[in-house]
Amino acid sequence: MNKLWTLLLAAALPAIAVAAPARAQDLPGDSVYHVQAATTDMDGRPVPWSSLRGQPRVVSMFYTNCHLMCPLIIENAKAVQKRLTPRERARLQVTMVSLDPARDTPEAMRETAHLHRVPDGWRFLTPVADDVRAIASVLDVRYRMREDGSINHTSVLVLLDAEGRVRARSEVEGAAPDASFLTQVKALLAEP
Amino acid sequence: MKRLHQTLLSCALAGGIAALFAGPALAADAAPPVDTIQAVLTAPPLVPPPITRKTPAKVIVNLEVVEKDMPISDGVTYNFWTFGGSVPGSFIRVRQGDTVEFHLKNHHSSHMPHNIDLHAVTGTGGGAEATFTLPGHETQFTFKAMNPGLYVYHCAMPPVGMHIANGMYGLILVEPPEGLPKVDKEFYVMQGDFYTEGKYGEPGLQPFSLEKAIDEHPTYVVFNGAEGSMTGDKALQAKAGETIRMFVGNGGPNLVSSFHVIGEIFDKVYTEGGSKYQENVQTTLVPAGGSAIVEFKADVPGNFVLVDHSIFRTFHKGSLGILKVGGEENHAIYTSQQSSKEYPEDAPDGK
Amino acid sequence: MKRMLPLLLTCALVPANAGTAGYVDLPGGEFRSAVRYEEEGDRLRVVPFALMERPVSNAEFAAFLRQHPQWRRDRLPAVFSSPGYLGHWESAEAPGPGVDADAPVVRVNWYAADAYCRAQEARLPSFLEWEYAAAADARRTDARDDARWRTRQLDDGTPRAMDAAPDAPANAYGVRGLHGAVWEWSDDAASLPGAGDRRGADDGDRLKYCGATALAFNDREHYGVQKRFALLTALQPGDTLGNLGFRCARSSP
Repeated sequence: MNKLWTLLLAAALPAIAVAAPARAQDLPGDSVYHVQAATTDMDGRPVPWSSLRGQPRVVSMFYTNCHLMCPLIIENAKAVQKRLTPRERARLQVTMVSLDPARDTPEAMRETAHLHRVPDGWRFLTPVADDVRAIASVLDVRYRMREDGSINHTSVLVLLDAEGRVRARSEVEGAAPDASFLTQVKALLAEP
Repeated sequence: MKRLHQTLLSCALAGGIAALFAGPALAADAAPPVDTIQAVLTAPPLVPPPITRKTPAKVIVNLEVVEKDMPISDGVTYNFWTFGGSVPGSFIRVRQGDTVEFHLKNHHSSHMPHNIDLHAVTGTGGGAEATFTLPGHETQFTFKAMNPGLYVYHCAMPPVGMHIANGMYGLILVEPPEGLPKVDKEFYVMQGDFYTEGKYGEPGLQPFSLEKAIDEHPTYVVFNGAEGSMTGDKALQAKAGETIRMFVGNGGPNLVSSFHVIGEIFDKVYTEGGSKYQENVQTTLVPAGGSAIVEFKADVPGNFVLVDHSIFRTFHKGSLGILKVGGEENHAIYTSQQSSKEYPEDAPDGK
Repeated sequence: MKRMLPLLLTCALVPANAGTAGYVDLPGGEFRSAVRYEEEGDRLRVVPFALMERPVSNAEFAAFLRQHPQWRRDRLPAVFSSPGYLGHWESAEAPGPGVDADAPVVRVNWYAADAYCRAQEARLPSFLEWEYAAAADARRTDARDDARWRTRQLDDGTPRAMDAAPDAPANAYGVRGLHGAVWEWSDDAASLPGAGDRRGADDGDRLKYCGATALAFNDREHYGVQKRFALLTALQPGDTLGNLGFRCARSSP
């Protein structure tokens, strides 16, 4: 029996070793999940960026000490969600990624989520310091750290399909959702 | 009475029939389909042929930026940045009402991005914002040529002064719907001031001098990108009796031109490239970043010298060109020298 | 398990790419940038950092590709690539004899440059860090008042650049090639707020760029910096150019 197990294991190992790269090769060339980045969620758990693959997602980047645009980003995303049917809502993930790893600890992220009464299921992720720029680049979020600790950044909601391809973008200009963005979200969620 | 009725009836019928025809005729006046045309571009001193069509069209313009070393004076070269390989850049000719689809390419060998601001464009930056083009890339935007006139175009990439100083300018003509009156010859002449580290005439490749450009002390002031661009065997040619039109531009970057053709009077000057003309003008001002259209008849043969009448720059910096007019002399208009003799000495006149 | 162990050991032994390029320490301090950033005053603080002595070479980049083959031009995913990427190399893995192995690698995009630096436990320098290091000539740490020296920077990015030759002297900090024939990526190239046409822009597009207003230059005579700035703001992270390379920086502990 032991011999059988060893044989099976030996046979399985190479398969496992190859399986992981094979999945990565399946990822479409234009997926944002090709970026190798490590993040932590607001419960302190490690969440590799590429592990977000698998569900349609609205992503944005912000930071907790931002009092101008960031509340608007959150309100805008909430408003998008509100206009979805329960079935659509169940299919869509919303993820907020921090531009400020130094200060956006899991605790700070939890506080912000609570303060803005974000719905259950939203993910708040803080990347490792060196990984912020790469994520921002594929999402086309431009930002600059200023001396006083504030961050100049563009405010967008990015719609990703389950494979991580950018399907739509909405420049956040207020709390009301952009109608054409909403149409794109619904269209994506209607796909099989 | 019957006859009247009949007449009335025929009138009514005629009216009715006329009305029937009027319908389709009106429909025929609705917007006809628009042709797509590739713009013909020329290098100075040549000008694309006059536009003959009577309707607006979609015109496609393809212009490529090329950075290249070229002579600026005898033995002196300069690293010019060009639109279409020449300084000034290619001449563009469209008609008022045309929709221009503009493609700007920046050659792979360029070391910098470039863009274009056409003064004929109504829209942000004159197109500069839409045509930010990296080396090896091509950008596109579309504009409507709403106003007739002769307009300058130039690069507006920061630092703007340097891009213009290196030769990135040219002219775009928007013809009025009825076109321009026919003339025998049309020429493209554009003045520019250049700033080099070395003094005037210092041989070799001369780098751009920012200090001189800021102080507005040019080393070379030339027509069509080089001293001697229109002299010797490159002189402009015409025949006595021909009517001539010159599209004159001034790319600057700094100097205003006092444009004059020695031995000629401009019959018409469309000042600043606009729609109204002044008549019988000797010297006309061409603003930096502006233009003028001058027209005259070459009545007699001879060498007629194009100059900037701020005269020291003509003789010391190169703003000189020649129009060679051949043909039969006309002694009723001009005789050249008729006699030369001594006269007895006396107290000078006026003593 | 026995078969696994050698595999695990090999993985552990492959070092993070230490690279052969040396780093030079720069002291940082107060610095007057030629670029005027929003509401901040003239003087900015540059935190001490280390900068690679030379730009990354073709040979060094080829070594990086051996460790990280996913960055080869024939394997790069579309999200990171552009048509010209490493186009001048003979093969996907090596520059070949026609390319100078020690010359700065070009036709690399921001993603590849960023990945190379992160593999070294480094990062790309910010534009401000580049500007600070490049303010020095061979003798002075800030030579920018020398108009003649400033003028020579107009040739940056061309074969006539003052640091184009491989044996061009190091600057006062010990860094080489900052004013060379090759432009260099900065970490924040995509985020330098610069519209293409800056002539009329004095209103900020406030909503588009949170808190930002139009950039201007403190030093209007610093054309060398303006040209470099104009180039970097035109670039997208996936773009490559025949005269654009990079070097890495490290934050000082």
